[in-house]
Amino acid sequence: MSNVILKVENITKTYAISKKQQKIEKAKLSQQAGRASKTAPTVITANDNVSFTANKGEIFGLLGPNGAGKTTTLRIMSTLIKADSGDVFIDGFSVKNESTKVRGRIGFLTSELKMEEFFTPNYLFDFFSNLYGLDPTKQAAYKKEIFEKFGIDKFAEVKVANMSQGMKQKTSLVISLVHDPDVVIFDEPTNGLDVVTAKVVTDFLRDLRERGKCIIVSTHIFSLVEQLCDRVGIIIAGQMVMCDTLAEITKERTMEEVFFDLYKKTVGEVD
Amino acid sequence: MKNIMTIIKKEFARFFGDYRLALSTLLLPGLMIFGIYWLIGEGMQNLTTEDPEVVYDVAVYNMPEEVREGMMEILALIEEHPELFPGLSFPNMNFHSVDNRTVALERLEYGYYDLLAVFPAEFTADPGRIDEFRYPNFPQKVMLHFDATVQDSDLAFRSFSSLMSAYHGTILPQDVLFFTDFYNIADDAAMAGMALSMMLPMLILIFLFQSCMGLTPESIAGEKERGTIATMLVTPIKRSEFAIGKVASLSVISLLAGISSFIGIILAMPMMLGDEIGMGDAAAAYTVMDYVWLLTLVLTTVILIVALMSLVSAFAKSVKEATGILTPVMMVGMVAAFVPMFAGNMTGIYWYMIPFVNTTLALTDIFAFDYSVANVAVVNAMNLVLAAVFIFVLTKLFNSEKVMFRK
Ligand SMILES: Nc1ncnc2c1ncn2[C@@H]1O[C@H](COP(=O)(O)OP(=O)(O)OP(=O)(O)O)[C@@H](O)[C@H]1O
Ligand SMILES: [Mg+2]
Repeated sequence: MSNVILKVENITKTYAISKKQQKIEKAKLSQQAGRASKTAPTVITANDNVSFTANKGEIFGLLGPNGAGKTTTLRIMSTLIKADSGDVFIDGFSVKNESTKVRGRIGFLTSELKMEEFFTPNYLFDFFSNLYGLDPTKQAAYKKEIFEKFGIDKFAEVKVANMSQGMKQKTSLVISLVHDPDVVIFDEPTNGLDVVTAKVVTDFLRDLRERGKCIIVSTHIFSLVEQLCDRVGIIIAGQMVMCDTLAEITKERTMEEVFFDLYKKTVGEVD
Repeated sequence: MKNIMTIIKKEFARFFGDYRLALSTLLLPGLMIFGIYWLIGEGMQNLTTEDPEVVYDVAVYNMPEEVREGMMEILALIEEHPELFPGLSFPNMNFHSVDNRTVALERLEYGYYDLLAVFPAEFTADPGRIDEFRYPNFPQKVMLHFDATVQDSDLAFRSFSSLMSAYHGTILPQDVLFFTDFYNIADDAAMAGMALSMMLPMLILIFLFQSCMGLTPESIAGEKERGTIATMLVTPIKRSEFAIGKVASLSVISLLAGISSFIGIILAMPMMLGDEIGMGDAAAAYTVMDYVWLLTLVLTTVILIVALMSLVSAFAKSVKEATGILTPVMMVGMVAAFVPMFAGNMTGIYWYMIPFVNTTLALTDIFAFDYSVANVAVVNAMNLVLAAVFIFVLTKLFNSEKVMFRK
């Protein structure tokens, strides 16, 4: 029996770009070609035919520099945006055609998804539990457990507006996972967290792995990948340039060395 | 369905949990309107205090000389011996004999005269002929024309009538049949009331527009701007359920705010119109069914406005942009609502199909006790069909990444 729970198949995603930005892109092209470019691109390719799979019980790291297209990939996986071509299957359900089923099976964590400032963790937990159609008594028990785990019980009735950054992150994490999804998609999990909170989060991700969940994290931090991930996909300029187990990729070298090697080959020397 | 309720409950928790927001949206408009109308009413009251220096100009038609003399005698007597007439005092009155009733009536309308007293041609107090008018012969009737909405005219009328009865009681033999009748030329006063009741439908629409405007952009464009909508869009809730939940909860809250303004008007109205035309009486004249139809009209109109505003708000990038687009939209809606006031005959059924024009028309019909249930039903149906179309498009917008994630 296959352990694969997530399949990304040849997704390509382009964004329309503004007229002014088109000029800049044209100049970039001309510089690369060494002669004046005739056509100005009207779109930017954020994902260029990206494919990979991830298994139950593993943490898959999507590693890449700023603007590589990591967030775009995760947004497509979580049904927030649609790919131009290609598809993603979660537990066999297509994000294109069965988005509602997919939404019930994933948890998407990102700083882009905000919580209403007026509400408290307690209220938000119940509200989202209802949106997922979950059993209230089971949820009450789960809430108690997970609030204690993250120390949210200490500020369960504080409005989001009055929370610190870390409190918000913890609450957001718990809210996104009220339905205990099989696939957890996490954009930049430790961004903006102090070392203590960051450890709470990474420990939690390891917990999830123990429980057989599939976790996809995106990051540009090498050490995080080395500490946390079982398999890694390196994405540069919208393309998946390497995808394998951490051990296979690094061998004797550090993640950093591998990455800059690849970067030189695909983009060129770092200035 | 359950998801719709979840969204509605959340919106209510958000709104009613925020006392300041709830109070300022629900209570303030009503209080403000009541306050404004009350101040205007006070101003009117102040205009109507009696001035002892004032001399009332009374136009008299066919007033026999002996009657005038008799009245003057009484006035002089009262002035000399006030102890004989406890509680009775009269302001100064100048009697102007007029030959042309029509001209005199016009002058009364302009306020040149305060009162016009018309005596019948055969009126007499001549002791020689007085027997003609003894019981059971024809009574003599004096007609007093005045304007109840003008304070001076009103006071002149009261003074003159009591002077007439004093005259009757002291000088004429008791069995002479003689009485005064009056004609209030300001059944135009009813006109003032009419004008207000004609304005009521438009006032209602304006308040509905305003309360929706205060809530919808904030609730939809605001959530989009702050990134809280996306959080709900990654859950399995259907976009249509989300759209319906939003529109339903916003409609209820907007309706409450509209009702608050409405109560403000109703409470303040009697103060503006004076006791003559008590709104209470008018309000009591409507049947339960009238009110039911009124409520359905207001409700479907609110749903339509909220759906329209939600659509624009979902499309806009920010609350600011949403209100920017909605302000002219609202103006157009209000102009449409005002059309029936200025347009002539609008009885054709097609008028009842044009949004906002139809609401005003139907509301006006109901206030005027002259409506057909079919027309009201057409308006309600139109409102709901349009709202459904808007909600459908809204659902599409919630599905569109271009719209939802455009910055
Ligand atoms: N809504 C959008 N419209 C236009 N271009 C976009 C949009 N979103 C992303 N892009 C572009 O797509 C490319 C990939 O962006 P993406 O956010 O996926 O990168 P990322 O790998 O997450 O970067 P970072 O590490 O900085 O978060 C970038 O060039 C970005 O400018
Ligand atoms: Mg990113």
